[in-house]
Amino acid sequence: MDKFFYFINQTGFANIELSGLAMMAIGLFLLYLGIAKKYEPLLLVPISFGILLVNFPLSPMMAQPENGQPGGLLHYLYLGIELGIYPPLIFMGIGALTDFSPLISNPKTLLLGAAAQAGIFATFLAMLALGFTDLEAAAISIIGGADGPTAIYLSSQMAPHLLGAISVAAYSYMALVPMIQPPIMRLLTTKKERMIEMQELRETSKRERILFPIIVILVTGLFLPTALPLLGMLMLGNLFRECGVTDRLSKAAQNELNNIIVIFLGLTVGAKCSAHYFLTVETIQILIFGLVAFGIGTATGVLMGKLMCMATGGKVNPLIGAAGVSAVPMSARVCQTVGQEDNPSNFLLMFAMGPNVGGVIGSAVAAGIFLAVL
Amino acid sequence: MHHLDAGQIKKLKIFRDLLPNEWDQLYPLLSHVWVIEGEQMLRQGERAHCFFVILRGHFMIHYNDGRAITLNQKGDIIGWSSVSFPSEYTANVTALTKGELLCISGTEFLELLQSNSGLVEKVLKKINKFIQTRPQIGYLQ
Amino acid sequence: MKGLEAISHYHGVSLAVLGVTVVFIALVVLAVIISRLHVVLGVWENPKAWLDRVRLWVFPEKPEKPEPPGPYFDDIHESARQLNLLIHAIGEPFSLPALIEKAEKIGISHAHSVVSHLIVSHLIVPDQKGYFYWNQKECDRLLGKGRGKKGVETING
Repeated sequence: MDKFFYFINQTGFANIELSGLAMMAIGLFLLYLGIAKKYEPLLLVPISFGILLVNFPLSPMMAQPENGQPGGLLHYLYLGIELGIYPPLIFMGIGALTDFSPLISNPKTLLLGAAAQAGIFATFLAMLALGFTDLEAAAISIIGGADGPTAIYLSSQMAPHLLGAISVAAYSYMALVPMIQPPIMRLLTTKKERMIEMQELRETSKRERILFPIIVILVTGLFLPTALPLLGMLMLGNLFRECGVTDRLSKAAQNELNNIIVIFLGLTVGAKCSAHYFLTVETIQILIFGLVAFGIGTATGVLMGKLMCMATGGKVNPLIGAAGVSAVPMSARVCQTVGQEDNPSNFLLMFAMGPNVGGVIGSAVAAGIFLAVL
Repeated sequence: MHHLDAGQIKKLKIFRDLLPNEWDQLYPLLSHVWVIEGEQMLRQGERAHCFFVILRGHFMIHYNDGRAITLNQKGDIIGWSSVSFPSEYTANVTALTKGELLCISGTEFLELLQSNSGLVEKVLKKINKFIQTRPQIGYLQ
Repeated sequence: MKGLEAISHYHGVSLAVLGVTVVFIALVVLAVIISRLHVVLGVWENPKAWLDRVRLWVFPEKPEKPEPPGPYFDDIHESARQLNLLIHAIGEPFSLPALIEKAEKIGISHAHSVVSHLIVSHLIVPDQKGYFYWNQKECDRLLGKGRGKKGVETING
């Protein structure tokens, strides 16, 4: 009988906590968003499942090893985040997948990518004012870079206790880009500006595309060695893609490796969303100011676009500045859609991809600055 | 398993200007669809998942208010909403005769954006040109 | 510690200014180097793709004549007669889907392909506003000349 009661006491039912149930409900809601609404499903599905797994009462998934007993599965998988392994590997896959030609053929759009990172630093100040430490503020503000792996990398190094909330905010807002950006873009531009059609981009040669990742890593690595884990892997992946002699590696980086890491990353990020860490006032602040960071980044990108429009005599459509928020390729598509509202024959897609991928470089540089200085 | 071989499909207006490497990326996304007379292929308001290129057959694009246009030229495009926001079909499509179409998943096509934005833009421009030459009867874009 | 005191304590403003400045400088330097890259590499660009495009421009391919969709009837006259009566009943301009629906209700078989046939034969024509009307002139020409005579379409099923 004692054994029976002991067993009962070991069940989840006997150990249910309201906070755990609340987190499981949040996990199920995010699962719904990922599957039914298709909001960043490749990340949200494993993240939400990780939230579920870790918030079951007495869940052993994240248990630390003790008394000679091994730890939980997710405890070991989480080492990939803790040691800063997964995000750079994902960046390698992103580099292998990404065509940087729109940026190479129009390199001034890198400035739009730079301007859109201003949201990060504005939010940094706001988070300091709210009482967060400098490390926490840096980890939260990087949400404004709209780059999931960068946000995870920085928060795992600077504020691992906020990793769950930051990741959920980052990926949720990346999926909501089509709703967040257009009102800001319309507010800051005139109809005449939105209708500007840009000149065709020139073709880029293979040699240019091969030299590009090498030049980027030489310049940024010398400027900011702390950005090397992210930028170095991004450019390695891109070199695999462009050099033409490592097709197998490029395909493996884009597909098998990327998919495996995404599964591990998603699960373990979700596993950091235990009730203890997630159901706090700080989470609400992170969710609110993550959105603010996004908005400021969009606004500063568009404003830089307006400046470039004036400087070039109307040759640059300011809308593409919004794509400097590096949610690739979603914000480029948003620029296309908003541009076509006023001018159906306006094709901004290719032009917007330049600042879009430039923003990836910009957000990695911003993360490197925080890592160097803090 | 295409009824027409790649050489024939490449001659369609929408694919004509593609470079060999662009074609290599796009070809795996194409699949072949057969429809019978009277089959309603797409419904207005439904989530737009594919767009189609007509190979053979006559198709009626019609709206819930009764307006319609018909398409029967090889290379005509149906269901372009799958590559725009919000991605819902803006009309119903019914096959007036049995037909053959190429189906391209809108999501998979747009995934090419990151790896080859030039290709995506080329195809989208063709789609846009086609839409503008169609009779404009005031439907939502 | 909150507010301006916190910002001051962590040197927030100088860090933010430094961050924005470094991001801009790094990306400006990159932009300048990349913008000159194609000039330096200009003579080594691949001409093969250009030759392919020139070849396509010099020898354009002829557009194929569109095939009419396969009709199911030996003769267009019967289809035209039945639909003509229906169209007169519903009035013009008419909605094409509504016509098909009514045609099916009154028992015209293969209503969709019948309508297709009549559109291809220019007996049903669009009004460019989403509705259609009956081309009486064409109908009179077809029905007036009768079967098997010159100028009348006779299509094998």
